[in-house]
Amino acid sequence: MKGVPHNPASPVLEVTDLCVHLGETTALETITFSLSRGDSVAVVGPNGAGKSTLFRAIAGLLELASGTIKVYGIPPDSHTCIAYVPQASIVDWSFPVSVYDVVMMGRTRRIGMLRRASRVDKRLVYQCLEMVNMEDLIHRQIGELSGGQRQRVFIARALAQDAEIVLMDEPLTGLDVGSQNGIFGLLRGLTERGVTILVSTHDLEVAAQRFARIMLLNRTLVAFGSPAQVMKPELLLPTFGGHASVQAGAQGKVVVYDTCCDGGEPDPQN
Amino acid sequence: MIAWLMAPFMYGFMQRGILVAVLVGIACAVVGCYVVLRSMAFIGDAMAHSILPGVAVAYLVKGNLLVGALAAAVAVALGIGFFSRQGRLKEDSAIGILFAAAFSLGIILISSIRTYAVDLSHILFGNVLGVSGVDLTLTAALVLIVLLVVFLLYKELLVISFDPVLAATLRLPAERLRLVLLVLLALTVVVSLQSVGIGLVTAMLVTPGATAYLLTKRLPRMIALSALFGALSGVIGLYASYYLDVVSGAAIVLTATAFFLLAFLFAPERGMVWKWIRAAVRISAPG
Repeated sequence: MKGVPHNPASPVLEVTDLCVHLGETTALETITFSLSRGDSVAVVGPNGAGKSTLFRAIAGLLELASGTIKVYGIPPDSHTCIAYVPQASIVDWSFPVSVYDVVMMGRTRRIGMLRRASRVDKRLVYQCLEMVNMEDLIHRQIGELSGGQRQRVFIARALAQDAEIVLMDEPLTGLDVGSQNGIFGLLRGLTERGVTILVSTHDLEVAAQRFARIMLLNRTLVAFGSPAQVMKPELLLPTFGGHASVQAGAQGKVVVYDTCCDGGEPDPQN
Repeated sequence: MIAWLMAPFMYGFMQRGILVAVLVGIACAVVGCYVVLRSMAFIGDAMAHSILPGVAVAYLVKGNLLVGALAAAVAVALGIGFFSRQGRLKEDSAIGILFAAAFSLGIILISSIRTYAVDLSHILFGNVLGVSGVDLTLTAALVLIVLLVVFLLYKELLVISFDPVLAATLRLPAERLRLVLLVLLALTVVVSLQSVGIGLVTAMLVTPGATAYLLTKRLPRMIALSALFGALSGVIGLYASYYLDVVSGAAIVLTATAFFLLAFLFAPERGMVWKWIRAAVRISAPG
């Protein structure tokens, strides 16, 4: 069972004048941008900037106050091709499921109600695990994996889901450089297959090094463009507000210090 | 030995009792896995107490107690689903209010019946040796329905339990599936009424599942092991009740507890005994 049919003439993702309220507060306002197939975007902003809110809205999990979100020309909540990988902390890692089980969950909708996984589904799950180099750990309980391995499993699950948009919330938090490199390699592989990727991070340096396009977000969309276009003090200051000190480095480089949180802890409200 | 094992089966009520204890043990244990994993123990306990008015009304109109309990349980399950969906009250507050009110209503109804004393204790602690042929058939049918639904909706129930966000992005009918789980819980509580009663049903929901959780890291195996412990507890508990002349429901629950303690102490890798031994070895062999 697949979601709604896709109109290939429409952009993968088209956000127009988006406003989202969370209770009394305005979490996002007047956000407008559009993405095409295979784009890979870092969404950068301080804690509480609305990065997770934007992702949940794109995934079709939130009511919009105003504006529209369209995925292939249709609102996202009828699509099953959007994979949302939330921050690692929200899943119960002691749950009695293996790596294989978690990836097979991505097939749930395709298999359909009252049916069992077919041989095709099982082979596909194995292939997805091969793509993220996790086939050797297929029978591990998920709590026994490292942080980087857990992210790989969720990427494999997005593959098994046939996701065309993958939203990853702070996937790099707590990972060492080696694991981060591994994840970036996988994400590049995804975009080459035409998957559109949005990754949220508060690490501007990583975003500038690894992504072709950066979105600066702080309740509104401050800037959206190449690293060279957005790494400017006049854009970074309104993004990070009082939490950042921006300095002009050598050879025109901009150095940003996030003085708020040492870049480590995720915001519980975000 | 064989004579010793067969002796209880000479009586029809004992045959029916053992069958019901096994069926109830299995249903409780299977649904109990979801109760353990989703932290629904409080809802299970609440539901058990809230079926009292249904039982009372059935008793007053001389109907089948199981049918009365069933009607009350389904009403309460849907009520809990309704209240907690509104989001105005926290779920456990809504449950607390609903179940205390229903239980109180049940007590008032039952205490207005003159001979309530005997029957109330049966409802509270079960009376598995008093089940009729009709009760046995009804129990078997309900248990079969519960197991069939868990089997057919296995992967959907897994997704909504493990990762509600995935359930939402896959556009699964999560709200309806949650309601299905509540109704399954209600059916299970109703059939347990006969074997362990309102007071002890939570133990039958939680203990076998928690035992199995200590022994395996895969859900299908956890469900199978839990069912095994549930069924064994029913059988062993009834033998204990027959030969030691103790209350059957309590004997069943204590048997399940014994299994849990064994697993807690001796489970491979996770058992406390192995942890103590490892700690002792570390202390005695420094460096």
